[in-house]
Amino acid sequence: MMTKSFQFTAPLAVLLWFCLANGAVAHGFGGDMTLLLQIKIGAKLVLANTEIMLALIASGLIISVWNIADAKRGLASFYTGVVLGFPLVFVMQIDLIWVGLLLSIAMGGMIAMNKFAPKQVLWLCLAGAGASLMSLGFLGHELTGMPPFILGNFLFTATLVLIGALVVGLLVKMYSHLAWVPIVLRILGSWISAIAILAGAFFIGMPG
Amino acid sequence: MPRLLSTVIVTVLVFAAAVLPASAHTEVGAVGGLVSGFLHPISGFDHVVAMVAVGIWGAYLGQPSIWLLPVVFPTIMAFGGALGVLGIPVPPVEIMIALSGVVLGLMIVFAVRLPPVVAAVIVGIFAVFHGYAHGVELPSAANPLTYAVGFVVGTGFLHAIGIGFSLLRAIPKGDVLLRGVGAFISLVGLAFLTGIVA
Repeated sequence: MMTKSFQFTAPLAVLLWFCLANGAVAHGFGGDMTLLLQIKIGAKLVLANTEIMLALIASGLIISVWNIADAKRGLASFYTGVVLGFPLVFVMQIDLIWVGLLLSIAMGGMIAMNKFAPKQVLWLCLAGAGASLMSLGFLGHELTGMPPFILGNFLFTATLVLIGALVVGLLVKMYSHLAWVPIVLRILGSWISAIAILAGAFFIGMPG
Repeated sequence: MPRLLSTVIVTVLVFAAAVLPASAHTEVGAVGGLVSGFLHPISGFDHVVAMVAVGIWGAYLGQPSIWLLPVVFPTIMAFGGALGVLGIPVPPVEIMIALSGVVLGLMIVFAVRLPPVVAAVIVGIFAVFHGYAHGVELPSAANPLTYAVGFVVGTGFLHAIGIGFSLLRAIPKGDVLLRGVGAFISLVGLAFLTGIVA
């Protein structure tokens, strides 16, 4: 019962925590932005960062293969990772970009081969992917100095992408009797792995 | 139904023939990188025929090759791309790309039925060189990350066209037509290999 309520409250608490964070004014963002602009910036921080998108899509697709109970645990793991990622990145200065990329390669590979690691391992993967969202701090953005509404929208958009991928995965399950549908999912998984490999090579080949 | 199929195939071929020459890397920003990456595999005819051939051969071999080859190709291609980005030297890339067209075209012509793993290894070897060719241009792209997304998706698009071509088998004499497509692919590869087309 405890665990069940935790699964619901943890993601909600994280979202609220980010939305209600202190009203610090960012250096580069300015204090008089319109609400619409803040929504746009928050969304763009997710949609324009390939590494973050990969981790989100891979996580959503992985969660979609489970039943509802396990999927809830998967979501809880993901958002627990988001919470843990904040101190890891901004206090301990650990660069989690690589964690996100490596997990995207691994999760994409599992989707492509339709062979999955044990649930416990996947929960850890999801927590890692959640934590890697905070790697945004290493991509030229200072989350600690960002207006809280942008941060909230960043997380909201990330949740939308995650849920979107989850829905795609569920649709594939629903229409798996059509021969080409599971193939599409496998190909999508291989694309995630391939793009993550290239992104990794780019980060090594062109540091900074 | 066969009439509809023929119409669809002819339409696809007409559109494929009417593609305009692409000017690579002229776009800017994230969207520019995406467009540039998507157009890169499509703008090189030697790449196009080889990747279409992968789709046709995979579909011809049936399960599991129909998904295995299009899954293996982009993943291994990414490793090749990584070698290109990192500047690790690889043996004559253009020769291997042209050779891929010749070999994969011949696989279709002679309807070679290899075990899925062997087919995947052959496709994977060629994928390294295709990836390398894209990879060396990655760092100079408008946005390398979205360029990577674009070229992986562009490659998948070409595989899908190849799988679409394999529907020719459903129409009368379709198998012969498909082998003809294989012969065309092989000849294009040969033209690049011998330097008739550069």
